[in-house]
Amino acid sequence: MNADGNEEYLAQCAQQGDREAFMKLYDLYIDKVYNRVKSKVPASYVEDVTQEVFIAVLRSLHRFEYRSRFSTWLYTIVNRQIADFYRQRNRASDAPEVSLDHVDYFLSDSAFSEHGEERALVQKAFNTLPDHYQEIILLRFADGLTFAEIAEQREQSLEATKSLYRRAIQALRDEMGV
Amino acid sequence: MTDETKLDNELAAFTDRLLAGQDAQSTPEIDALAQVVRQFHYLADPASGPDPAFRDRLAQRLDQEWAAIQAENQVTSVESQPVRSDRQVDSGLSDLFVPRAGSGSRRKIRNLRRNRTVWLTAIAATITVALLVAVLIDVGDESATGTASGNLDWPVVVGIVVVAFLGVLVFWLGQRSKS
Repeated sequence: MNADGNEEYLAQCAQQGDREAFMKLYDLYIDKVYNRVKSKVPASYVEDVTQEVFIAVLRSLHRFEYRSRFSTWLYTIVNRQIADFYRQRNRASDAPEVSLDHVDYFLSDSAFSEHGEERALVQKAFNTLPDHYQEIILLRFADGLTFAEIAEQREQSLEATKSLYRRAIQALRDEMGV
Repeated sequence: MTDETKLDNELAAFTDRLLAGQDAQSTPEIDALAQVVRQFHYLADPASGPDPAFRDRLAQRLDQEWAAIQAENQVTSVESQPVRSDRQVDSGLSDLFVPRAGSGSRRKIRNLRRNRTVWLTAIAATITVALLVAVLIDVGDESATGTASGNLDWPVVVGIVVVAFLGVLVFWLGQRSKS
């Protein structure tokens, strides 16, 4: 049984009430989820958002229907929770529209006092990238997959994967305006 | 090898070295992109994962949440099923997560089948009523105009039946998704 198959099996066991199976999934994904959240929200909120992700996963686990990989389903929840985080911040600051474009907010965050501006700018630029660009960067950085593993997961050639990665970094550079 | 392929490979190799904590020198061709990779690495260094204390805290929180869901589900199960064996009550969380699996699966399938029968009956009844309404409308029209064609306006009848059927179907699907 490969790693992914194992994850789906664990999800199935957890759906049937096996708490240990759920905690195994937690152990498998805590680092990856945390790193993904860290890439997209200010440092002082990473733990809160990560916690919300896992609670949301626990509460909606019964809705996982094996139409996709478990990781794909989980990362959808990660993205939703991150979007919710920004939506709530927007509401709190009476911002007129929902957006991930929050550089001013980042800059005012105390967690970013050291090298804050640079981090905020990178994060802001990253959040504005198209999903497929964000995803390939996160697969390499947050999930720690090699390019060969990413290629396998995306069912594309290694060359195409590396090319997509370079274009994603180029797009990030363009967004940062450097 | 094209220039772009060369750049792709160089940037990928540079990223690999950076993430492996090795000396990550970039070539002049990819220098600008390598700088962006360094900045992103600074933002999202995978080596600095969650604090062990946070991991434990969250694991405990999830434990509590799990117990709360289980308790919630047991209350719901007991309320909706006044007569249940102890074994069925113990499988509370399982019932919440996978209604089709576990010890109560036969009962669930029976309920589902019963629901289907109820809904099929409801659909049949709705179609019959729709047909009756169509016939009555047709008879009403005949009396008003004094004609005696004796023929139903079939496109209207079919339309009413289709609309009624779709209405029931949408309602049914709505109920299913709620449950």
